[in-house]
Amino acid sequence: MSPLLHVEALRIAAGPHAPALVDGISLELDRGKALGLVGESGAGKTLACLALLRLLPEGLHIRDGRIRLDGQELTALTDTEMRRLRGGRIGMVLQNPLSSLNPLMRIGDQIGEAFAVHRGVRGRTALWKLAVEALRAVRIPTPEQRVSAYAHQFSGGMRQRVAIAMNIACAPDLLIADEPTTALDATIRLQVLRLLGDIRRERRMALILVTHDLPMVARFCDDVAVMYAGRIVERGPVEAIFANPAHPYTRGLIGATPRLDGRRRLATIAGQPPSPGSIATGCAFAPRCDVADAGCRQGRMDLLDLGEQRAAACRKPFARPPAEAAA
Amino acid sequence: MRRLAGSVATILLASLVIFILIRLVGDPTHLMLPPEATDDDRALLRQELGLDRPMVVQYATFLFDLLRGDMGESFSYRQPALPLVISMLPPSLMLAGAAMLMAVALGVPWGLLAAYRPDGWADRTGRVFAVLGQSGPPFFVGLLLIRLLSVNWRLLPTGGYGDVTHLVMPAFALSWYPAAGLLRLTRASVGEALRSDYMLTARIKGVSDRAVLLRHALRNAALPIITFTSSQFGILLGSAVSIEAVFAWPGFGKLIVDAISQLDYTVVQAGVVVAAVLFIAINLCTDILCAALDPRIRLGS
Repeated sequence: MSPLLHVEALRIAAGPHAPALVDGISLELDRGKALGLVGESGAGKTLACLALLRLLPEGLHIRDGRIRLDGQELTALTDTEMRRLRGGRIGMVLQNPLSSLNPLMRIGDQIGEAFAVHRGVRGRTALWKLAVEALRAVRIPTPEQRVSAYAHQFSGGMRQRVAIAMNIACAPDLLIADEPTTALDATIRLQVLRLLGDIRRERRMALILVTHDLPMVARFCDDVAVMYAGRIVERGPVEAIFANPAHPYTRGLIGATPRLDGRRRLATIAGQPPSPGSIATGCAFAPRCDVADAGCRQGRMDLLDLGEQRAAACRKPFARPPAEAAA
Repeated sequence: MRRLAGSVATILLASLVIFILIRLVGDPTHLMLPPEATDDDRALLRQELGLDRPMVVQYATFLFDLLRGDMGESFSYRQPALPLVISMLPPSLMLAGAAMLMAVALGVPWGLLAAYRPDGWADRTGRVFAVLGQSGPPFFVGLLLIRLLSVNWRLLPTGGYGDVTHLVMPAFALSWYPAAGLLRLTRASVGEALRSDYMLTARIKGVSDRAVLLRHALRNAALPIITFTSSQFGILLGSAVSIEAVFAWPGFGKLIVDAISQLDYTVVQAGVVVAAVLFIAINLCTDILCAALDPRIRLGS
């Protein structure tokens, strides 16, 4: 069976000679599966997601690559066809639920808009009825009353539920959640993620979860893709990668995650991620890598198949620094 | 209720300040009587006008009369000051209103186009207009218009008060400045709305570009535009003086300026009170409009 989403060698840049902000990433995602997209800020996670919707910020363009949804090539669609796909087959929840809802429109009208665009539903009564159902699906209490409220009358977690309701209203095949819990209280995060997980299972909807939060990926995703400086440096099933990361950067990220048992010191990755265009040759992570040698600073490293559906862009996969290997 | 009290306090304060200021400027009896009049003559006139009494008593009398809608008699026109001032309002309101209407009609769509296509033709021409509009004094624009439209092409009358043909030029000259401001403000606030997350969300929903602009961006950008428009309206009423002079338009501004130079206390006082009431009314309308548009500023929510 062919995957629901197939991204191949996607490249995003401002112009033909400008440095690539997303540099040839490839992804596959099956129907109903969840992919965690992790990496530091500026690694190109959000841009890659916006590219799937063809909603890149002014001035940035898809320079190269293919995006296929259910066999359909998205980069070849006209603007009108693409618009029908947005909200219809692909949804995207943004990080800050307060700024992502229109402050002057009633929630019912905002959710209703999706039904008006994609299902041709007309009239406020009909639209609000559908909006109430959408709110019920994200477990908002007393949706009949809340449908006429404004965004500022909801709490942070409830706002994010509204944003989710709006994006799954027309039953998309793929939902992108761009750090959906970063702006929320810790106690609310889990609730929102559970909700996303449940909806995904019930509707067999694929999910891309963009996050900094590795434990969240471990808990809610099937696969993980680690991005560094615009490229995917490692990808594969969550359990295998968390148990034994192949790429030193993945190892660093996992090492930088606090653990409850507190048995080991919290590790940091020294240095800063490179800015686009500053990477001369070789592996972009080499300057910060604890196992890099002279060979890593030459040539370009592409994703290497490691078997068991895993791949990493590293010359020395699974290598450990001498001190750690001795211990 | 608290608002009402605040409004009354504002009017009282404005009247008190002008009451004291105008009395510091000079003694009107010097201007009202011929130069050869004696000090005794002037004292007699002051007594007749009630200007010999202490200022506190004068102000108390003024307030007491104000409650009955009486603001005294104009020294120079020899008729009640309040009706005189009010009779001059319609032409001024008409001029300012027409100018504001033109400014909105010109500035808002232009700014919208400029925001929609940054660096497009509307944006480029708009930038030039914004500089010209905000640096060219209205009376100069007015003189240019008279030269072109009245003297050279003989399309419109040079001035005076009458039908629409008399209104077009002064209103246009006056609209120049607020139009440029509105253009810039609309461009900035629509641009900001377009870059916002909720606009991205609307696009993610599959809403078309035009609907996104009209339904989401314009409404959010409307609040600063409305606030600006109303504040400009008040300023227009005052700054219309030069335009009223250029186009011989009988207006409120000219009346007050004349009254000040003639030390016509009662007319100045009546003018200030009427202007204050007008400003407060405009502000109230603005607030009601904004509250209707924005649920976040509605009372009690």
